[in-house]
This record gives sequence, structure tokens and C-alpha cells, in this order.
Amino acid sequence: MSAKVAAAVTALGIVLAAPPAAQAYVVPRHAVNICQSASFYDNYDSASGPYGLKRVLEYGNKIGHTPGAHPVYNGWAATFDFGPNDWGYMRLECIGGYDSW
Amino acid sequence: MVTPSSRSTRLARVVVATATAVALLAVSSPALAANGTIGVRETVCAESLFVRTEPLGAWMGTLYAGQTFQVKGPRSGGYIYGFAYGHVNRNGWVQDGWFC
Repeated sequence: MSAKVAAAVTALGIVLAAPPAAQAYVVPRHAVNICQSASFYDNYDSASGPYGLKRVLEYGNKIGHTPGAHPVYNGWAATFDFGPNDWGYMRLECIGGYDSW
Repeated sequence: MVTPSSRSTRLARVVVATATAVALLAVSSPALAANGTIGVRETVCAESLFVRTEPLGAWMGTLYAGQTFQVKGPRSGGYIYGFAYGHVNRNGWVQDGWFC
């Protein structure tokens, strides 16, 4: 097998192992964190609550939420952080200033 | 002119090339993720797999490689319904085709 073919096979393997497209199909509305600071968690475990602290958002950080479409569990809302562009959970009462930017 | 020795050399090259191709395919095959089987608790092969409220719906959690998903069905638009274990622990929809 030539080096080119070997490289192509390897590349195919990498492509197939890559994660699926992580884009947001339901585009969240623009909002901001209106708490002085808000914990941002990786997941919400229905058995134990928010799980895996990612970072702490500061007041005014740009976030996104789609009321009615994205779930809110026990006051924890699925939220998009427009900083690193990733999803997580934060307190619903810390989400405000919808469509302000 | 083809001599017996050059023919055997060529044969040896073909054998080596074939063996290399088979070895490479064998190495790359674990990366080939498959569709989920209904009724089976599948393991996620993707680095991360979004769990959604519905096909193409809102994000509600993320499964990572090695975590599991109990496939319940039905299928719809390239997505499949089931129970996401890991640190999601809820029913939801994931993109099909990312299971080991």
C-alpha cells in the first residue's frame, strides 16, 4: 500500500472517529448573566443535579437560552455560553436581558 | 526478462503490500462507528454526543466516549430515541451512528 493510500485510510479513520457536528440546531436567544457570578455546569444529572463545573460566569457574560425549547430542570436551565461557544447548565434566575445584544 | 528470482521478489512485495493493507484496515476498523440496535445498551464511540429533546431539537446533555445509551427507538431523521446514562440520566434523542 502506498504512503498516500495509507494516509488516506488513516485520515478516513480520524474523520469517522471525530465527534458529530456540535452546532446548535435550535438557535438560542441572546441573553446575559445577570447574577454577580453564576456556576456553569457541563451536564444536569436527573438523579444528582448539576454535574461537572466548567467555569464561573461573571455578571454581563453573553449567554443564550431558548425559553420553552431548552429544558429547565429544577431551576437549572440548559444555556449556551457565547464565550467558548459551548452548552451547559446554570440557574434560570441568572438569565436575563433577552435580546439585549 | 522475468527470471525466477525477480518473480519471487515481486510476489514477496505483493504479499507484504497485502498484509500491510489488511493490517491498516484492521487498525482503522475500531473507528468505524455503527448505528444503534434497539434493545441494546450501546457504548458511545464519538468524542462527544449531544442528547436532544427531539430530533434536531434543543440540547439537554452531552454523552462522552465510553458512556452508554440504552437504545429504545424509534428512529427519526437520523436520530434515535433512548435513555442516556453517564451524567445525563434522562431519555432523549441522539444522532445515530456513533456507537461502538
